[in-house]
Amino acid sequence: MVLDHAQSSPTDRELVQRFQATGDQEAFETLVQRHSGRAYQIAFGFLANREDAEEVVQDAFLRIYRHLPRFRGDAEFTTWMYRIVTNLCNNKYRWNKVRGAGRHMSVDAPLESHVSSGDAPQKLELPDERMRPDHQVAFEEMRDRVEKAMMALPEAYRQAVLLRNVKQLDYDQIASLLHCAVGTVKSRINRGREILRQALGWE
Amino acid sequence: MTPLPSPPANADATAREQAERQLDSLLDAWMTPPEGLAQRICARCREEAEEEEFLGPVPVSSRRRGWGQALLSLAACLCLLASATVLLRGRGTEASSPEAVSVLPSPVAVRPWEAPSSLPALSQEQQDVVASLPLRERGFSFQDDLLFRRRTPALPPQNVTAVSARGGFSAASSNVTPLPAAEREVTHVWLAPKMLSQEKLQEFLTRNPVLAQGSAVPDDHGVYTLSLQAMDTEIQHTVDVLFRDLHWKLLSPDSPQPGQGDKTPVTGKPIRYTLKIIPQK
Repeated sequence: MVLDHAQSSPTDRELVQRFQATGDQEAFETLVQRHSGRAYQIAFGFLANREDAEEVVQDAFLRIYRHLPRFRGDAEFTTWMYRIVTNLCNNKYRWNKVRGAGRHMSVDAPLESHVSSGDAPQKLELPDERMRPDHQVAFEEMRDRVEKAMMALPEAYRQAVLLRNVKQLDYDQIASLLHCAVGTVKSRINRGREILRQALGWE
Repeated sequence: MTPLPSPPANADATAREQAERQLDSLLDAWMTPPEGLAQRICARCREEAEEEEFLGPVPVSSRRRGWGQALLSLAACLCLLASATVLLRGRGTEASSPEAVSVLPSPVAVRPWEAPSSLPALSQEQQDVVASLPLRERGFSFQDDLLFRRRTPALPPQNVTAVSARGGFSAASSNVTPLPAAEREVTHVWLAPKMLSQEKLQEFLTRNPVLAQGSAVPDDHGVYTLSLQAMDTEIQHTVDVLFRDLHWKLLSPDSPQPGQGDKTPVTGKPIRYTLKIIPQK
């Protein structure tokens, strides 16, 4: 018997309604499990800093938790979530700018701040598990160069390039997040990737 | 017959595609969310829910009040201060004779303030802020303050305590240990679970230029400073509203204390009341 996947997992709307009706914590936590990753990637797309991105995402879901009882559902849950995340990113960006916070990107910084003292810092997970070990060294070197090249990109290009890599985010949504036209988004992505390729010596 | 693309151009296109895929892989790796992110978010939200329970039996409608209503509470409180200032100054004049006393309200109206059994700990950053304040403003910790109050005998409900409008409360006339009257200048450190936004705070300051001074922008430690000029009874009311309606936590032990207006002597004198507000994360 083939299970209908659409029926086996509740929709966002159903989870929201369940939380609003009964305060079902599990419903809210399912929303978190489902969307926190993408929210993080969006925040990272704006801020290009792991700690700031996680802080923004935590704050965003805390606000969602507080205000979800009053959420009317006129827009999709994800649309509302994206708006909160981007607003917090803008606040964070302004705060960092005013306070002169450094944008130090440590390539060797552990991914998790909760890594115990006895554990070695985690490196970025290699996306292609089929990569041969002798290629992994070259991949890590390339990763370092990409990170440095990304941080050297103009802010507008970097945001567009990163948001393009957020799964299930189309050009219209990126344009909405960045408050610009779709054509502008495409132009920034193309130009940003071109600069990256030049920086990496691929052109 | 369509000519095949020349090998070099084809090889270039293939290499280009491969480079694009590799760039995508590298960017994806860079953007991978950290392990345990969802769990940390859920844990933080559960803490929020537990703190709401800790604050006591707040009606659901009050708990869900938006910023607008919270601001209105504070603004209404201070409008009351403004409108009552002239009236009370007149009454203060009338009550300047030594024989004038004001009797406490009926004991039935007294609501004892029950200290919560457990308190959320301040973060290290917040502790540093409190520690950096001058000693007089720092006072002792909120937990110490509660300990102090638990040891203070409660006002027996059947007693009525007479106080002088001019101050100088006589302890001998009562079997209750009174709280000290508020000084001319009082500074209180507050912990605010829900802080007004900077825009709303600035709007509030702009609309009340005489009563309130301060800055809508926090200092380098994230602390907001706000000063109010009013009579001691109005300041007592403000403290009560902040504690009871906005659920702010008072860290300072100086009078006036929330819910303790019946134990605090009334002087009828103006007070410069400074709030140092630490938004709680």
